[in-house]
Amino acid sequence: MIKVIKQSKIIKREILIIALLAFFFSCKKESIEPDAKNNTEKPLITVVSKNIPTITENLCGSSFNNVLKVNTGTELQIQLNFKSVNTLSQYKIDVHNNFDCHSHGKIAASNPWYVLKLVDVVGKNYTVTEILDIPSNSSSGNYHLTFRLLDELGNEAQPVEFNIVLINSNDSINPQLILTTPTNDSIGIDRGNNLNFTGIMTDNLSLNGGKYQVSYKDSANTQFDLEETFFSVTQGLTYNFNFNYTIPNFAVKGPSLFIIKVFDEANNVYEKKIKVTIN
Amino acid sequence: MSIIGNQFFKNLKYIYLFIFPLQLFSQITKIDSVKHVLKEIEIVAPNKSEDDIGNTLNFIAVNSDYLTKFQGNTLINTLEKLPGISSINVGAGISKPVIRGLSLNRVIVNEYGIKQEGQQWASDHGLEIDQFNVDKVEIVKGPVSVIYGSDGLGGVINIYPAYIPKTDSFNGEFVTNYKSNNDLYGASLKLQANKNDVFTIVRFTFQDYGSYRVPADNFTYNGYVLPIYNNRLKNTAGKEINYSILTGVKRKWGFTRVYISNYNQQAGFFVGAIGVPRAYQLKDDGKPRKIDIPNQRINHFKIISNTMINVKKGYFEIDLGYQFNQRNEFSFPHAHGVGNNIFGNLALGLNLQTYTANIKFTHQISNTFKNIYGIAFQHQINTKTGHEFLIPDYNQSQGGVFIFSEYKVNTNFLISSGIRVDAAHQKANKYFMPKYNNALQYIGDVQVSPELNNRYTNFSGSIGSAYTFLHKWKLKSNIGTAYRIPVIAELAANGVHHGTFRHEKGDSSLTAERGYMLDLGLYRSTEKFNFEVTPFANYFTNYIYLSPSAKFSPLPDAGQIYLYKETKALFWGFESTAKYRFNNFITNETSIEYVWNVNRKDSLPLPFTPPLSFLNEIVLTPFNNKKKMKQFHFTLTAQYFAAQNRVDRNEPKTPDYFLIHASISNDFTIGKQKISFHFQVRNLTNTRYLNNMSRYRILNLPEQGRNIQVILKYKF
Repeated sequence: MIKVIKQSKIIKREILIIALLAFFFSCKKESIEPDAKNNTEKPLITVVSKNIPTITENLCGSSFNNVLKVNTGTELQIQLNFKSVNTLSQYKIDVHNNFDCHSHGKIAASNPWYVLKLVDVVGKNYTVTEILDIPSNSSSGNYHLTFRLLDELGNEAQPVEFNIVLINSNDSINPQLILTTPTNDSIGIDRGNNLNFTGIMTDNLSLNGGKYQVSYKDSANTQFDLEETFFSVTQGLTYNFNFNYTIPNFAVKGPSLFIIKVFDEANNVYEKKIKVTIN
Repeated sequence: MSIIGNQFFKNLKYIYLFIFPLQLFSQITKIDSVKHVLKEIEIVAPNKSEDDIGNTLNFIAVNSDYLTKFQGNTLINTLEKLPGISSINVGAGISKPVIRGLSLNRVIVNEYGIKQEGQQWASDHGLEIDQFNVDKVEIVKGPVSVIYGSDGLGGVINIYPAYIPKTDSFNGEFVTNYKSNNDLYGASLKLQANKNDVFTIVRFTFQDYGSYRVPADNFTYNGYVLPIYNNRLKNTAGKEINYSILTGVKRKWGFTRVYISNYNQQAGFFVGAIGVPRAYQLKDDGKPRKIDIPNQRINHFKIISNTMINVKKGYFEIDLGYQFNQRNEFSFPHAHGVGNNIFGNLALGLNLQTYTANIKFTHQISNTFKNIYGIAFQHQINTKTGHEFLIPDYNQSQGGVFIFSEYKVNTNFLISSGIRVDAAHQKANKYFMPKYNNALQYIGDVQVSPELNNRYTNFSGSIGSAYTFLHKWKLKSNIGTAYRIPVIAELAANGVHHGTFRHEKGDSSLTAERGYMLDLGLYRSTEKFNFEVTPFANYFTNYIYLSPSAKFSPLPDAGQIYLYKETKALFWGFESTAKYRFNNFITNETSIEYVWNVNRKDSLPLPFTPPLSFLNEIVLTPFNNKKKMKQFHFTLTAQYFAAQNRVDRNEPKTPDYFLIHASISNDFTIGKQKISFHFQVRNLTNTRYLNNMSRYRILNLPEQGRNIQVILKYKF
């Protein structure tokens, strides 16, 4: 019985200690001054205004609600406010292409828009209008635009990110592919046999430095990249396309999809899909 | 049904938390009521060292039985249940040890007396050890610089060789395991023979696993909700193939043996972990076992020779080792703003060769007085490949001599002291990287790391004592100095590190890490009731850490630069364990561990600090009195991890969580053969939680869900 009483006393004392500790720690938190070395409050980036509205669009197979659609040769104006309880230090603007959905390492021989800018800032509340000139010869396609911010203590703001869909103002017309073989968009072939594609690739302005890609997706939904060929920088308006592929003996039987993509100089894309049933 | 189940598990949490304090009191009142013969089942010889050195220090030792019964994803995951031990993890296959909040190069792992060297300075680099090939592990916490030299400030994990097989015997062991969470299957075969005390032990291990499952179908990153398809973290699959051969001879004069081993691992990184994760990358490709890019491939080869020679009044121990650690980290050049290059997708390749020699002479001067004289040497050569730069090629040599004395004042009182002198030399050339313009065209070379030609010397010392009183109580105390030379990454790193996805930058002016360590231990051990409390305090006059700077990386798509800096730092904490054996059938163990630290430069905590945690474990052996079921065990383990709100700058706070694990094991004898069966469910309640010690914490990725594991061990 005595022991029980002692225990309850001990428990009470423990509760008191815990409460005091909790009080101590909660007090300590509030007393941190701005710019004190242990201040970990994050700065904040706010988009005040911009000259292009944000839209929702399907990119790389997923829907994004932060998409800006812009033409080359124009400018993107974004007014940003940087705010922090601590003195600000630096912001970073990063624009890079997302042509391949960040899935493989091949870089197009085209002319991607690229921005990498570090800017030092002062004070605790700073508003700036960033004007990003988009060169008129930049390649069409998807890009990422990211704004990052740091304060003097190294606290990092949550980045602000946009997906950009760039349209080349000089050339927004996709190239074309007219296939002579096969003549049908849906064919059948036995394993071990040769599959031949021939045809002509054309563009209204220029195929110079562009490329084509051939890939296929088997009935198990596995994608195989078969070919990537770059056009010469003096290719002109046409390219005679001839591609052979022997269906391997281990290929999965059933309906598969061959995809041929043609990219022109401005990176406009034409995509041709042919259903090939592997027997 | 599931609602009832969830309710039950929620209540279980409270039941457990109540059991914890009550049981402590009940234990104190029931001391010594009944006497039983204690069978050492899991933890063997808790206070004695194989090395027979540093008996005043704080030890934990476990054997292969324990390691099988509570097998985690890796050796370190298995050990982290022990008080004071935790781990830093990347997914299900990569983990590294943390002792009392100290990690990276601050924990030494010795296999067969040779320090494992595998770029352990990075939080995403795992320990390259085949967990099936471990027969006995001993963990030493506290000041060990005198015995082990540079590094090992947190402590040492010693992996000891298998016992020498019986004279004129041939036998073996076949183990197979399955884990449901990541569809892991594995097998390990061991064969051993001894003829006229010439012995050979051979082991081959293989493991293959898919991407692991989490109890979540989405996660939030940078304000976006991203999907997790089929509850699997895409591209976290992996595989391991290891082999080893040990051969030796035992004679009256002592023994000598040679150990050759090779560890090979391929492990995928979650696709969203390199750069900013995007929804379309996370789409299920229908291949959960595929190890796609990004991934890492590790090969660790070693040859170790151990010799012991008995002489009059003592013995010599000679340990020699060669290790070759090859680390290849693959990621797409695009993700780093690099174009096509000769290395393809090999972002970072590091090849580290290490030569080690340790010679010790234990001199038993009298029954009460013993001296150990030691000399240690290590030489390292590191070369790099890959399209990324992180650390330069370098050469490093280290050597040390020490004397360690142990004096038994009387049967109850042991004192020890040691002194050591160390010297080290590091050399690295300047390194240049090609620079590209906005259109990714080569425009020239730029210097990324400085020339290094650093020399270090250090003098360290320690004093310890162990005092036994009232027969069953023991008090240990140790004071010592801590010493660690900076690693090359801390001096010369400069680049986006693939594994952490941060721009990390070294500082060539950093000096050696130094500090003072105080370690105490109060132990009570009887057959019925074991209790220990082991407080510690470490004060570092110089502590190197990775600090977020106020400047951004000039590399594309990279965030802020993290700089290696030095500071004064204080660590304190304790572990406490109470193990009470109610009767022949029920044993309960409760433990608590806590680490508190502060960086004196900015008054902030240091990163990757384990949270306060409680563990309660009930072991039932209900058939202890029946011959055939004697080895039957049912274990229920509950762990509570408090919220970690003491975090470094830009390190997210982590909420608390509660986990329950259960295991059943038994031995069967069929004829002369013995089969042991281990069934374990980890994270029984499939709890969704975040772990602040995980690399994926910054992505807000939940940890592994329920994992049902089966291990069969067949001895022949």
